[in-house]
Amino acid sequence: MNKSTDPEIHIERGELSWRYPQKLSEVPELLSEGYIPHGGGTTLVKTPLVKSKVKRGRGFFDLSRLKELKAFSLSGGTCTIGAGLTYAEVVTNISTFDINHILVKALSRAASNALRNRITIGGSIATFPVWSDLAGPLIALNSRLKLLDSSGKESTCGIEEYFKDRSIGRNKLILYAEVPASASVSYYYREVRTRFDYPLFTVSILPSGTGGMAKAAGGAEATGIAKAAGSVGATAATSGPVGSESTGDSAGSYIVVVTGTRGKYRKLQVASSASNLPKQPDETEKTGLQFPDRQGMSGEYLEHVARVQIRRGLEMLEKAAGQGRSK
Amino acid sequence: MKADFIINGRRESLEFDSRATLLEVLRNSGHREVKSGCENGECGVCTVLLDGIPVNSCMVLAASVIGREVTTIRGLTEDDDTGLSPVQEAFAEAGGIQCGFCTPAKVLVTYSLLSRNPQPSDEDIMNALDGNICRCTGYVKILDSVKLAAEKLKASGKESRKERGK
Ligand SMILES: Cc1cc2nc3c(=O)[nH]c(=O)nc-3n(C[C@H](O)[C@H](O)[C@H](O)COP(=O)(O)OP(=O)(O)OC[C@H]3O[C@@H](n4cnc5c(N)ncnc54)[C@H](O)[C@@H]3O)c2cc1C
Ligand code: FES
Ligand code: FES
Repeated sequence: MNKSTDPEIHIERGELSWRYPQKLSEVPELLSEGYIPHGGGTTLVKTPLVKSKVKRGRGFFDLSRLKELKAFSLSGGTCTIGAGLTYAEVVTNISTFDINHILVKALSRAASNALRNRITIGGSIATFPVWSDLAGPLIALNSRLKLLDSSGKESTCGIEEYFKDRSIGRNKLILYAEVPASASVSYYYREVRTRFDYPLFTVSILPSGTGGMAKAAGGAEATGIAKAAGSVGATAATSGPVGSESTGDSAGSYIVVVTGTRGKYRKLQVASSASNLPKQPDETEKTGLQFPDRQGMSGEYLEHVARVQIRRGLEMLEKAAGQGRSK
Repeated sequence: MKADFIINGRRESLEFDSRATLLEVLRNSGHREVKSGCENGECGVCTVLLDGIPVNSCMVLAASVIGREVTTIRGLTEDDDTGLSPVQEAFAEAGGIQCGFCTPAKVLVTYSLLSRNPQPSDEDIMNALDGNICRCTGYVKILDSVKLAAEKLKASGKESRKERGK
């Protein structure tokens, strides 16, 4: 019988082993022994480890009993979201103080009701599927992650660092993500054919500066997104921002993150006005928004639809800002 | 592996492969009322309530939910002499059922929704049932069924299993 922290569970030899840590202090040893974290299991359930009975790691350790990963807190303008919280739990928590927060808009529409009750923040960050409804908002919000490694050391990294350099997250547990609490001035769009569908792409728009948190995870100063986003090309750093020249000054500009593009996502800074967006398809290269061809849909078509949605989003936000100013 | 689950209010000690899904474990232990469809999280027919909340049992590894409370469609009526719960009656009366394959899941999702939100808007209903595909009814009658269920529950003052502390 395998060791289990829960005396009522009996696991036979040769089976995939399961461990059920109750305390975070048990995690480093499990990581060093090759156990794999189990969040909602919605990806793991389809992996070869489960499906083909191939024994690659030692087994899974379930995160649901770790109360630190189920914690949600709001302090000093920053939300700390435990990595074990489900999409539904995040929506419920954030809705208590901001029903229009971009994460509420994105996660309340992701997947299906039954899946939103299982998919966790940690599992979604670790996998970042192209259809993710979480990745775009987290990038736009300049989220910071707290990680725990097999030696028990905690570290902090930015969400883009984590996505770009997969070695950062290897054999580490994501403990939580930090995001700005105030992100209701925002636009979120998911390109789907039916209500419950994998989005072909998503568009997240926030006014520049929304992602500038006072303190990063672990207490270090966070890099304000406004400073960093002069002409951020997340996956194709050579192409410039959409529309007119960006000065690096965040006043009146927007951060636009599109997921589902070639290279998974693209982050742009759009200066002040929707009218700065290129209108003609031959200006595509200015946006760097290149999409792979999908079943029944060319990349060119998706790029066009994405630009329409970005324009709509910017117009909507500018209208809201104009109304705010005239009050 | 061997572990306990609380299924429809009763503790059941079950033996299962540690790689098995909750759907496989439930069906192999006689809970055939839980239907199997796509087994990919896409059709919703396998939905059960886990601690009162809908999940796709095909996407849940059973070993990850040991000791927890699982409710199948049978759990809504087992302690009820009338045979049908108000939600089931509503689906039958409003024509929310044709072949019936998707119905247990839809009834459970409706039950869970109305437990938390007794007067849902159309949008709330569509959100709650967004992962439950029906090949027969065309959904309009399903919306009607949920609204009728809400009326029936309100009229009967019936509380959900969860609210009664079971
Ligand atoms: C039918 C279907 C439709 C879907 N549609 C959408 C959609 O529209 N939008 C969307 O955003 N998502 C969607 N998803 C969810 C997405 O595809 C992934 O399945 C999900 O994000 C994985 O999260 P999980 O918590 O279930 O991860 P798990 O399956 O538990 O784990 C996935 C990976 O992450 C690792 N992991 C888990 N937790 C942690 C942690 N705390 N730290 C480090 N590593 C960890 C695991 O070891 C594993 O490698 C859908 C899934 C399905 C099945
Ligand atoms: S069988 Fe589970 S969602 Fe289709
Ligand atoms: S009634 Fe036949 S699938 Fe819904």
